[in-house]
Amino acid sequence: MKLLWVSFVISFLYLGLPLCTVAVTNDFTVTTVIGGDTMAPTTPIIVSVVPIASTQIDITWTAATDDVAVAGYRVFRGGVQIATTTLLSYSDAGLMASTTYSYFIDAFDTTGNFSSSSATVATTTQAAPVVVATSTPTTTNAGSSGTAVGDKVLNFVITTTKRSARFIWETQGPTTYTVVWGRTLSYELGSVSGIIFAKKHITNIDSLEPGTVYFYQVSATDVRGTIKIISSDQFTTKNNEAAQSLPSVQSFNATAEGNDVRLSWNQNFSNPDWYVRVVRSHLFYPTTIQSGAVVYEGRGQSFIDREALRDRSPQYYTIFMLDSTGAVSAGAVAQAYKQAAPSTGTATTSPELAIPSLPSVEIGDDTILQASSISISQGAVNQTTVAFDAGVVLEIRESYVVSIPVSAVPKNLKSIIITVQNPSNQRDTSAYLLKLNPDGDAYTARIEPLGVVGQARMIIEVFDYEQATVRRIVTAVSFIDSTIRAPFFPDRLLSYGGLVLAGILLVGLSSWPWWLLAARRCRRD
Amino acid sequence: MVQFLSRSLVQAALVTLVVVGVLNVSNAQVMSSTNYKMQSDSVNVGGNLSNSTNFNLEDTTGEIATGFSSSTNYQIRAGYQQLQGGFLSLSAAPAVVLAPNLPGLTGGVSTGSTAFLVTTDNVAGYTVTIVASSSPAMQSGANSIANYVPAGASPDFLFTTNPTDVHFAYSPEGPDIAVRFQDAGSVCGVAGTDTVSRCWDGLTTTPVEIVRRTSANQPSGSTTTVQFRVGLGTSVFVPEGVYSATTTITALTL
Repeated sequence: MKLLWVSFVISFLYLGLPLCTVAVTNDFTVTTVIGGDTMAPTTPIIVSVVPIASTQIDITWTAATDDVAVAGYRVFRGGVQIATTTLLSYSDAGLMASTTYSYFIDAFDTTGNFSSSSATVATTTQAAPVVVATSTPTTTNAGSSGTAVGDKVLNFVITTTKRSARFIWETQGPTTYTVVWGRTLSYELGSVSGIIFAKKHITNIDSLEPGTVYFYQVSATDVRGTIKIISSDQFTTKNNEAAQSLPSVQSFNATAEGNDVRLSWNQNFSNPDWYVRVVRSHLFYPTTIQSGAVVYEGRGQSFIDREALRDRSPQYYTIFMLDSTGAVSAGAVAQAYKQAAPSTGTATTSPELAIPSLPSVEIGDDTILQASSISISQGAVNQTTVAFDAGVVLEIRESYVVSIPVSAVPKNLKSIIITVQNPSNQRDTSAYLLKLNPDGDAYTARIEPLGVVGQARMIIEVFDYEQATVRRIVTAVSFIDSTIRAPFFPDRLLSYGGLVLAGILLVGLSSWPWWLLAARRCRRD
Repeated sequence: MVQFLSRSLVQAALVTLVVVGVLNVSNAQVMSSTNYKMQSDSVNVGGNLSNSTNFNLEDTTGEIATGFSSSTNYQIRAGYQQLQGGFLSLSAAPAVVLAPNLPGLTGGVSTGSTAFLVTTDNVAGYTVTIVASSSPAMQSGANSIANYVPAGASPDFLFTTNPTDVHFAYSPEGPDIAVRFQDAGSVCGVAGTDTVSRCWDGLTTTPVEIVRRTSANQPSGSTTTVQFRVGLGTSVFVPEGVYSATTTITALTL
């Protein structure tokens, strides 16, 4: 009987099992691969190398492929890398006429694998253009707009402010251009050229005087090298008695942070009309407020230029101070480039070097620039000028102007940059572009001092058209504060002593009647 | 005595067989195929035999209150033998290979996903948990990738990789996602919607509930997708290699 009960219990236990909770499990793997991209991109193929002008060759190529991703292309001219780009074409401008140039390219991926080089392709730039007859002068007036003379020019507009003039026009075909201007028909004040063939053109002339008549001439060069003067007339800048010279921006720095560039500067916007504009170019420091991509405009003290270093080529920045009248300060410059460790890049030499007692020439020779040709002047009323090689002493509360005669440097040079250290921190440097003055006889830069007393290095660097430094001269400069009062001894002691003696003398002289009375008493006694 | 024992044993065995044999008509999973498990059959008089690729079904005339229903994949008849609650199936989740490979030079984000189907007749529903077999989950020999750590107690609404981060995260999506992975627009962990590719958490060795359903869902079941991501920052070095995480999904009836 007991066994019967046991059998019943076993049976019901067995039947009860399906009423319990059911669980089901399943395993799988999640896999990812880090690195492992050892495969270089395929080799790009040059499709065309076309000399479209006497100074420009356009190169195009096929896209490379990669198992992960193609990050960009390097362009080589004569075996020397001249650019990196993510595009499939490149315009190599600023070349010599009738000269043969050879090119090859390669591709790189996101891991840094480089493809093999493409085949080298060479071509020769077109012959130098010949100037043909000029066209009829335009009737464009200052600040007006209209259609310029010449059947291939459209919407020619000049807009003037108190300190600048902006030229905008279009051509039916691609052209380069040159604008010259001056106070006479000799156009003696300067010129600006656009070397990329395009149909839409815009350029800006600054450092003009308010309420002044300027003559100008605009010439265009087509792809055949034919030069045509498309506009020649005059314009007048707007009047502004209060036009002022804007201070340059101080302590402008560019720091690479991955693909980003952190830009910082130190500027006191004491005038509500003042603001800054940061212009960027991967070619070289922008020399005008429009000769590059405008990455920032405002009244801040810093800005992050996102993804600016994606192509791994240096980025050059120039910051200008502007106001609502169109006035533009001297440009302060800095550069940044991507490297293993983020670093600040400015167009300076190493700030750790000792401050020289005399100008020391580090690069180049006197045929490019002599130290004695560089002058620094300071003082609006009692202006003092010292030579770069004669012990520079500057007052910390006044701006100073660095000047180099045009005749002192070869004409084919591209840029001159002056870099000034902060006397209290040699790692803090400010660099400025020198630009042609209104008279056209000197490259100048007006610099606002930091207001810091001490000794620092001042560096003049000259760059050629390939952005190579062809001359570097370094000197020491002493920043002083002449308003500091002299110590009490001996100067003030002497001054106080003089007052005491004068007082004694005054008291003595004023009491002569008492002395006379006393003398008479003595004689009576 | 021996004779008595033998007789008793025989009786007990017979009783057991009878009880089990009779009542076993309602026992579960007497037939199965790749896709189905039949929980019940019965021994009856009369009836018809039905066939398909995956099962054979014989109904009976001995059951009253019967009903016949069918779909593309099955024919079934319900009678006094109601199916028992507790049936649960979990399809195999395919392995995941995240893509693309992460370059050592620039970092980036690698993504992938897997999906599984859970079917149950349990009127109380079920839960699904996920767990890693190791910590950190993603390993390659002596090297590893850290588990994603949300900023707060709940998963991060956005998968964020800072320049110095290297981490591995997951985000479940589906019709019955647990509240922890639901969001209210920008915050996770609150009952709301299940926005695609939102609410990221780290995969740990502690089971985390990712699905909770409170009703049966047979026969169609419910599909859950689990997305995985590895983020590699731009300012960090990770040794090259193939990193893997063994992951376990567990479905459990409520």
